[in-house]
Amino acid sequence: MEIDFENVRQLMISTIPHMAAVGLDLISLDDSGVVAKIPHRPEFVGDPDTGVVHGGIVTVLLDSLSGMCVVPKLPDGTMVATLDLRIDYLKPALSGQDIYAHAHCYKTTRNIAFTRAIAYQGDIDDPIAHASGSFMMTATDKSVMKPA
Amino acid sequence: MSISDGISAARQNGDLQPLIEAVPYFRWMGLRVDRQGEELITVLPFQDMLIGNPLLPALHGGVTGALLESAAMISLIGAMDTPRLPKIVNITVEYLRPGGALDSFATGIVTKQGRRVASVRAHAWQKDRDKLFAAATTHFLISP
Repeated sequence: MEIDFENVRQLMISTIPHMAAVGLDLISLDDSGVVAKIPHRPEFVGDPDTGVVHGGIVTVLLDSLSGMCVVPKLPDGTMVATLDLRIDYLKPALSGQDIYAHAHCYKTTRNIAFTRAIAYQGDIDDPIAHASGSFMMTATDKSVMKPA
Repeated sequence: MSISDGISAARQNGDLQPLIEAVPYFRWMGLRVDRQGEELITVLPFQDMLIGNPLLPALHGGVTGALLESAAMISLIGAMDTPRLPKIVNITVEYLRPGGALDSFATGIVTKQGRRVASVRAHAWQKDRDKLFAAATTHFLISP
């Protein structure tokens, strides 16, 4: 599927209120996956003693990207609904730093798409969290739900 | 107020609201805690900024995950006897149906509290408590 990157980037924050609220910023989106960041804000702190960001912000980023990385793999008109998302918190986020994530869809079947994602700050090889997700394909137009 | 002060205060008088107020992210989300008997119900009042799917409309899946994680932690703090903030190890969120543009509620059930790790199951609902829109299995580290 051809993607107009700048269009998707703008649409996301202009149409999806929670992505706008957290300032989610799309960096790249193609068949190999999606990368985005949530810029640090003091409101996102979960532990005021350490300044570490709350897991909820990491969850929002990983959930958003895991769903988004499935879309280029699907026929036009197909949507996805999250079945489950597991997040392992690997180490505390550093205070005061933006959080990045990369997600990719490694398998699709007729009904289900499977994803992996990692969240990181400076170094993608030293992630703060790992996510695996499964998504059910749904369609607004039933005619597009043909066997793969 | 620091987190450990908030937890100590909660332990003395059973009121977790000061602890919620001490966490910037909880304040930003507008979370509240209601004590109903032995149970701690985490309340997420609806706001437009929580929407992830404007067509349905439905809550953002990450918001649902954050509510379940917060409720699991709050219920665990209520069940623990040390003034320490549990650290999340992992969470598996099951999305059962879309969360509507409504106030949401969640609570945690401590299924196992060991010396180092606690397992907490969390449930989230809106109008009808018997009709969950999401559930989660979580693990927390409770000693350093």
